Amino acid sequence: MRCQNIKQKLDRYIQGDLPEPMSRRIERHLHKCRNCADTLSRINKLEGLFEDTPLPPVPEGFSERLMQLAPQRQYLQQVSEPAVRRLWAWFDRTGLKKSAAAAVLVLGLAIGMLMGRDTWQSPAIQSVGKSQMAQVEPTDIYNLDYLTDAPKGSLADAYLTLVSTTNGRER
Amino acid sequence: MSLSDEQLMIAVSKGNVEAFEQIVVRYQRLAWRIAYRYIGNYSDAEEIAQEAFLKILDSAKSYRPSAKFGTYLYKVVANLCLDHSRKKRPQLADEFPADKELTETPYSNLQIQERNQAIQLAVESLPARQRLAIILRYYENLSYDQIAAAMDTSVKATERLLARARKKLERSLADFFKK
Repeated sequence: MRCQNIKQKLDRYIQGDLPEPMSRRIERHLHKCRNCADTLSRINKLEGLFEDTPLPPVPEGFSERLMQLAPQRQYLQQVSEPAVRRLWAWFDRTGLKKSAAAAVLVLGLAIGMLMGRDTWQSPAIQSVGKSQMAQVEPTDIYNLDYLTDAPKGSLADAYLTLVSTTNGRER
Repeated sequence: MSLSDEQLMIAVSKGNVEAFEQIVVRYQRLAWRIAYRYIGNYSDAEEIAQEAFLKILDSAKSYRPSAKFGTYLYKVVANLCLDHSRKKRPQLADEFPADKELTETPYSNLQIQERNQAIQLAVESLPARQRLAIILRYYENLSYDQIAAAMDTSVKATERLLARARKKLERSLADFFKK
């Protein structure tokens, strides 16, 4: 057994927490290895430092204060046992669980489509037909006119070049 | 005849507040000990110790006596201590107020006081999990199996954790090793 493994087990060896065969192996090793014997000595010393370290007593009134909190906690536990959980349990009992899940899914899709409709039905986008899209400058749609005065080589100019359908041609 | 911890917990699961109070009275010192050793100040330690019992109350209905109640309590307190470290900025050792009660203990010998303060500071300077492992090993005298259960880890991982912690403590407390 390597020293590194032995050292890691020494504390358990002190505690008598190791299987008998392993303890005997460690004992034999300690007789031969000064290094591990020193480590054992340091572990013992460290343990000795922790003896008789004082500890303040439990704060006065600890259990009284706790017992005042306990009923509130019990109440909250009962009330917050989710209504959703009770509702779900009802669905389970009546066999409506799958129908409920399907209904929720359909509802979610419907809401999503309704919300999306506001976007794709936007007058700004609708007024521009597919063929017109290719001719229309993004600067017109998105009110980026103020960037057309940007000096050549500037960041704004580079951005306009990227988004413009003229793509580098004279604007 | 007093009821066992498991019998009390069964009563607690049925809403018996008196049973819960008995649990608290039996184990308040244990919860306080670990919390105080870990946190180092009264108010936070009390908060953690109380929260441990309240968490046990919360989950009383699902409590199964697969292990001793003490082991279960160690685990709850240990998790709360580690959560506390994650949420709060670690307090530097010199931010801890002078512990009035400790200086008035029967251990009035200055050297012993200095040693105890040095130990306290050295332990508090350890990373969270190492600190907790040291407290469970040297203050609570738990076995490696018990420490592993409380910290939700393996015995081998506990060995490595404590080996690293001991190395750091030996460096911090080098003066006391020379004596």
